[in-house]
Amino acid sequence: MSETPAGTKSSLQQVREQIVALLPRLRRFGRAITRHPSDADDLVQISIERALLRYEQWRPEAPFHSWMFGIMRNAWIDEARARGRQGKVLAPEEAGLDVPDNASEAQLRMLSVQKAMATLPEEQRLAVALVLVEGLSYKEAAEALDVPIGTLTSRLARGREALQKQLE
Amino acid sequence: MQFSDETLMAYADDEVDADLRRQIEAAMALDPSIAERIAKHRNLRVDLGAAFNGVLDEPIPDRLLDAADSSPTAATVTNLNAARAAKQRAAHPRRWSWVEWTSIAASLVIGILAGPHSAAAGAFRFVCNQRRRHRRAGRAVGRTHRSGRRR
Repeated sequence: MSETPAGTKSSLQQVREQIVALLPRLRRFGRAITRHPSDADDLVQISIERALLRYEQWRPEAPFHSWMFGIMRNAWIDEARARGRQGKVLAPEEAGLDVPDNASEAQLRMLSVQKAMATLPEEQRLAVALVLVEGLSYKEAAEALDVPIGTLTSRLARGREALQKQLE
Repeated sequence: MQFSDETLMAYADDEVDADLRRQIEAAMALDPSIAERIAKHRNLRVDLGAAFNGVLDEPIPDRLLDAADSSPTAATVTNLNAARAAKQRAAHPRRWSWVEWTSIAASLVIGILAGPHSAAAGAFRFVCNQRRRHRRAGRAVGRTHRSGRRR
């Protein structure tokens, strides 16, 4: 373990600063992958705690967002497994996905897209969220998901096809 | 020339190499349906942005800024399940679980320091009696001794 030269920040401090800078995108990613808006910030909080616990695992030459999105994805998968084991039924649709009476076309479209994302299988939803919502390259997204690029692109393609079908 | 949907998606995502890009662009000039398919893929990205980008403009909740500042230990990492369960309990009060009786009793021990005739002491005695009644009520709530043996 190398020592920190005097005058440079510890890597823990670097990770804290990277997290704060990335917070808006982490919240957006959370909204895209969790089925219920109230879960999104909970997931971000858990992921921040895990990242700070494991800060030594981030290699500074690697893109921070790939590492951080990978932590969020793992935390979400752990959560989905825990719910599956307990046979928990997902909570009913949150208020907020209700359509207001005077909704504009743009608002209706937003809600349809959010709902369509929620119906995707986890793998496809994660791929779509990383590439199309967060704008990661195929390589970065594959790293975040810890899969080969071919796996990422096929999940992405299936997710997009499913979304297009639902939104036609 | 035929291109798979996945190939055109990669083109829309700027993920094809220079050679493939040239081939697709050459084919596009002759076949308008290729441009239509690419436009569909690009529009989906725009729609997804519209659906989720709003959160970028929201103020960051304090608890997330606090979390970034904190010094978590393995014991304090939030469990999403527990967070959701806590919210549900707040919204829908129900018969208390065994775990909750125990933690309520433990926290009331602090109240005992206020004196044996205090309200806290009275509440503690009430909770202890409830636990005894609860235990006699049945095996449904099992309890494992610290050593791991069930009692």
